[in-house]
Amino acid sequence: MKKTILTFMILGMFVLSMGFGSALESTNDNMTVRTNVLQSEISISVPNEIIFQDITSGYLSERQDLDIENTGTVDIEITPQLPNYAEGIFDYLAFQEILSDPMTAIRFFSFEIMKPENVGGTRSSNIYMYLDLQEYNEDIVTDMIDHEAEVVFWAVPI
Amino acid sequence: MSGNVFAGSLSMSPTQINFIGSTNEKICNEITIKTEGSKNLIGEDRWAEKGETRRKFLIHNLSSNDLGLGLNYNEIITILNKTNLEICLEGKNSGNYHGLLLYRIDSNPTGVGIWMNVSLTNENSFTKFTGKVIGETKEKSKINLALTGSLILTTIFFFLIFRLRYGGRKKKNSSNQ
Repeated sequence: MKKTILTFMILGMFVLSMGFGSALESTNDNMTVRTNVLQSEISISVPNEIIFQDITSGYLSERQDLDIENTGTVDIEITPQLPNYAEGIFDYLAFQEILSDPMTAIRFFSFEIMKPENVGGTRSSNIYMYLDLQEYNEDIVTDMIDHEAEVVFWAVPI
Repeated sequence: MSGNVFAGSLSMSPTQINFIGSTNEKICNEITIKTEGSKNLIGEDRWAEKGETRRKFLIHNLSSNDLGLGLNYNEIITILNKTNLEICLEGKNSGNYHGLLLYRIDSNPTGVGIWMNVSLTNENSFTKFTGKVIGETKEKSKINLALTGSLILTTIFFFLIFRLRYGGRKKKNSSNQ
C-alpha cells in the first residue's frame, strides 16, 4: 500500500513540475525587444508679436508672413481667436494658407499642420495675415495709436 | 512683424483623456504640461452639445455648467518646465459629452488643448469587476491553470493518504473482530 502512495506522490510531483514549467515557459528563452513608448503630445511655437503699419477704413494692410511650428507628435488643427476682445477693428483680421486662396476672416479660419517626421522634430507651416478694413464701414473719428489686441493660436489634436 | 521671434513652446499630454464612470462619481485623470522655463498659464474648458463627438474646435462653445458637469482643475498655474496636473470630473446626468481642456501662456499667443471624452452611466460597479476578469492576460491564465491543477492534485494526495491509512485500520479492526 505504501508503495502505491509513494508511486502516486512521485507521479504527482512530476505532473506539478510539468505544469509550472509550461506556465513559466513563455517567460524564458525569448528574445525581447525594448523601446520607450512616449505619450502623444501636442505642442506648438508661435511668434509673439505682429505689428501692422498705419491703416484706416477702406484699406487692406500689408501682408504679414507667420511661421507656426508643430513641435508635438500628433497632427494638429490651429484656430486663431481674440480672447476677451469686444467687437472692433481686429475682428477684421484675415488669413490665407496659400496666396492664391481668398482671405478668410479670423472667426472662420483654421488650418492644419501635420506631425513632424521624427519624434522630437518640428514641422513649420507658413500662413499669411492681414488687417482687412476694405469692408469696414464705420468712420474712425479719432486716431487710435498703438491700438492692440491679444491673439491666441489654439492648437488641438486632429 | 517679427515672424522669427517665437513666443515660446507649450506642450500637453496625453492628447485626450477619458472620463468613464457613473453619475455623481468623481473621476480623475492626470495630464502633463511642459513649458520652456517659468510661465504663467491660464486654463479653461469648453464643451460641445451633449452627444456631439466631432473633434471641431469651433463647435465647442458651451461651459461645463451648461451640461451639469463639474470639472476641477487649476485655472491659473505657474510652471517651471514641467508639471503634472490632476483633472477631476463629476456629472449629474448620464450620457456622452465631448470637451476641450485648454491652456495658454499668459500674455502670449500660444495655446494648446486636449480632448475630453466623457461617458456617464447609471450602472453599478458590478460590470467593472467582470471587465477585469475578461481582461486577464494569457500569461496570468497559464499560471492560474497550473496553480489550480496543483491544488486538485494535492487534494487527491491527501484523500488517498487518508483513505489508505484509515481504510487499512478499518480492515484490520474488522479482521480482528
